[in-house]
Amino acid sequence: MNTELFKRVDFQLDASYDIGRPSTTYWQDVWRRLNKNKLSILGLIIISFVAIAAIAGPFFTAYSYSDQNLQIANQSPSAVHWFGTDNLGRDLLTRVLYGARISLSIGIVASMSTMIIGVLYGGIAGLSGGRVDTIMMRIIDIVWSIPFLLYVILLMVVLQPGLMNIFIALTLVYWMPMARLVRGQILSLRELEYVLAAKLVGASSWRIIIKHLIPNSFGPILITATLTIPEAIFSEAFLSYIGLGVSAPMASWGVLASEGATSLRSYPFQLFFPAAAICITMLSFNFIGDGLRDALDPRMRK
Amino acid sequence: MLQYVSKRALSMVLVLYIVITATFLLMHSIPGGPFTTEKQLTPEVLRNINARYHLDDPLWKQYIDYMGNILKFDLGPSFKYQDRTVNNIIADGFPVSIQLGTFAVLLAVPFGISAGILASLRHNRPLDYIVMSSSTLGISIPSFILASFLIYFFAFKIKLFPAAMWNGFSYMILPGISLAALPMAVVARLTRSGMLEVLSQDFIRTAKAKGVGKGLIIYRHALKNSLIPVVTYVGPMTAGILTGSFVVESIFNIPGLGRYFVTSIYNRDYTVILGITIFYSALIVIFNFLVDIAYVFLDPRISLDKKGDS
Amino acid sequence: MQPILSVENLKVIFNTYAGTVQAVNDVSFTLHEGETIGIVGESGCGKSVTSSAIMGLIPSPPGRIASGRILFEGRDLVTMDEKSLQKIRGNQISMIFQDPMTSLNPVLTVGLQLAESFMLHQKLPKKKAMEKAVEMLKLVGIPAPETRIRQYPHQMSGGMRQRVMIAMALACNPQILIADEPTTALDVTVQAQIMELIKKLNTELSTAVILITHDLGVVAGMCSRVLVMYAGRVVESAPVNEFYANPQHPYSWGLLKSLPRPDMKSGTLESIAGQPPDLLAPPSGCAFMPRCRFAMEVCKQPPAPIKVTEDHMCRCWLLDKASPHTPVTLFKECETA
Ligand SMILES: Nc1ncnc2c1ncn2[C@@H]1O[C@H](COP(=O)(O)OP(=O)(O)OP(=O)(O)O)[C@@H](O)[C@H]1O
Ligand SMILES: [Mg+2]
Repeated sequence: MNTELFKRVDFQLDASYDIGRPSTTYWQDVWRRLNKNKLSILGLIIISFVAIAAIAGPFFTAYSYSDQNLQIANQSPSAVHWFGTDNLGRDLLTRVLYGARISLSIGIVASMSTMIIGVLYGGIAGLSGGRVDTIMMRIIDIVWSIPFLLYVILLMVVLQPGLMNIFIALTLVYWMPMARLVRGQILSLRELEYVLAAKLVGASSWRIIIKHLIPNSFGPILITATLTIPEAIFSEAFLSYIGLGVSAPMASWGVLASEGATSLRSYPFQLFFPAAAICITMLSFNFIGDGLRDALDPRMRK
Repeated sequence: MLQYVSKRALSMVLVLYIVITATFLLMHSIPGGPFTTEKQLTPEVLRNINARYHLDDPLWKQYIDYMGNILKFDLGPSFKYQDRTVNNIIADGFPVSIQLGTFAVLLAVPFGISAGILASLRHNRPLDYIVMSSSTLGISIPSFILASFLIYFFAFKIKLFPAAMWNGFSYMILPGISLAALPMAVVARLTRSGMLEVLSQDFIRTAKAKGVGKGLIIYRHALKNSLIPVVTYVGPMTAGILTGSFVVESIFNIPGLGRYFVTSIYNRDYTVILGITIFYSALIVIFNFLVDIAYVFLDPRISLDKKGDS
Repeated sequence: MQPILSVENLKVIFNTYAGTVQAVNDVSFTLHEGETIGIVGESGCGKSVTSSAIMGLIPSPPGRIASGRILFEGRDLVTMDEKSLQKIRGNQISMIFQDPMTSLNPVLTVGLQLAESFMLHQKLPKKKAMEKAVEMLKLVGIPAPETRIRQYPHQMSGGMRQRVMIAMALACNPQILIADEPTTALDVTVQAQIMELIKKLNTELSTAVILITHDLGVVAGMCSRVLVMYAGRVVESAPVNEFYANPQHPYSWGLLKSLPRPDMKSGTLESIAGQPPDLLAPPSGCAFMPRCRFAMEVCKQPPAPIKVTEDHMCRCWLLDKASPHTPVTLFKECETA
């Protein structure tokens, strides 16, 4: 044996040695996990496709969504009318594409507006604490005990049907889960050390919320906002079904589906296409929501 | 226990009071009053009708009268059907809705729980994926679409079940499935994630270390814990089946309360809308109260007094 | 004498997304009837994984016993089927876990959880099993056991829960008791009581004990042998007296030095500078090298186990025949440093 080998090496603690694992940032991690979830990616692709179809599609069809032509009423799907025509002779594909605009925008607007209101309400409650918090949360508790859809129905009865009123009614009701979530996040984050530290150096409450709390709560907020979209689309379809939806000749998917359902026996395709649009979109959003939830779950992080 | 129950009961009454007041004010804030939409009425007739329903009284008086009647469990007359009261309508429709709703729960809960348990035991294996994707499908298909498709296939195409009406058990099946699909999917997901969570806990390892077999681990050590989240879903489930019954009963033409509610919305029959809403609210609030009490029995960690405070 | 348990070249791996974690690597030791051995080492060195492997409780996936044998009464637990394992677990080999707060089922009464062992292994009816449960609680020193058995875990203190755990583990009078850091979650006075209890039961019931701990002081008081683990391997194993008198591995020196003594204020195992290596990508040579002040060029190659005396083993290049250094002088240097 070589005595060289038994020379003592200079002893120093090698700091780089400690970091064995390649370090990735939180969002890289989330993205990697989301990427591995094939269903979420499928959902994202489908939603993008539906969104593009909703934006661009109507420019490419030769028909208008409202022109009636009773001579071609109730035609089955064909090369001319891909999705067939409805009982007033309107091209169903065109109507489904316009419907996509309405349904998607209802989902997105409702998601955005409930997020803004919910974050503000929950933020104020959580940061104020004490009596303000108690009262603000009691209000939610009381409203929470009755099904949200019942409120939306009542509001729509009072406000009268119409696209704008649907936005208003949905926003007035669906902000509450977000507010609860944000308030809960703030309460738990408030206990954390770095927020305490920020307080000690004298940062004001609002600066703290912007600097620390929002980025930290971003994940759960994103999940809730994502899942609000299918919820709103569903609620709108539901309202349309009981006659409280957007007014004719405008048509959301829900209106189209409820129109189609009346002639289910003779022209099932009139229900099939809008129903498929609703289901596929809801399914995609749920896939994305599930994928996000799994990807953001800190317990899975190793 | 008594203290907790009375505390909860008190807050229940408060919630109901607020909900009734808010709904009342909402209904009375419709511009012009309930009969203005009917153009054919002469001012003379309108005045008569308003007098008959005390709509010409000041709002506070109407409110006090209404509250007084509610204390007597009287929800007032229908605007549209002069010979019927809201109480009549509820007495007609509610028993039917209860049957349908119970049937849906009996479908949703046992099947949902079993599917969830099976999925968790086959975690990340084909059966798990099948349960998870069908339950995602279940929460993505609105009940009215599912109902329409069920009618199309099972009533029109293979003529196995009737498409409408309410004349016995076979009439319950399609609407029951339409109503049960969503809660079944949610129960399956909750049970699955509850089981997975519980099975990874330390006390399951303790049980294994004692030599407890797989079956007993699931039955004795995991199931009760993992059903706790399912119990918390009972409240929302009732609410969901209730709102679901609006469209499902309308589609299947079932003479239940949900269909009457939707009809009253079409007719803008405001007293009926108001009355049924209050009835539903009371139902759900009471139900949640009962669930809360059941919850206490299921989870020994919850101390009653603490819960009463929060 | 035949050992009742002998672990031979045990290797346990976990497949995680980031790669394979070699949690336990080439671990061998034996346990005789009535004997108490101690396993010490820093957090994450594989102590709990070793004991889970003996119990057949490695979570799979992701874990797997990659190689090695665990012989209990001549039978290999690694290849044994689940049914036979269930008969052994809790009956002949049982285990007390690290955290009494989470190791009991919160929604079952303490009595039922205790009685379960008797119902399973001795096929007693529930009523009889409950009576036995009361006896066991009495044995581990819980006052008013008749009322305690009807309580839920959250109604008990941590020390009491750990006593319940011990009662559960000892219910069927096992030949082997594995105590995985039974007192880390408890406060100091309770710690001493629990240790006293284990010691008493060890002598009275002549149960063999594998005691996993961070506390070398406890090892000195209770064990006949000590195993020092580092990064999934046993780096030194010796009879207790020999170990304290004549430790050979620099890591053991570090441990002994950090042992709190009356003349020092405080000290923990963590006071060895640096961190243990990541078991995902363990260094090819001696795993302790990066933290060893006596490291040599040769330490970049894996050291082989070397017998110091008949029952004193150590894995260190310093003990190699070719090594010019004598550990004893280095230990002195280390003491003064
Ligand atoms: N389920 C698992 N998946 C991946 N790695 C694991 C798993 N369980 C344990 N390990 C790894 O095995 C190694 C040994 O863990 P073990 O729990 O045996 O440590 P320990 O010596 O008991 O530490 P402590 O003193 O903290 O209890 C650790 O590095 C850990 O990361
Ligand atoms: Mg451990």
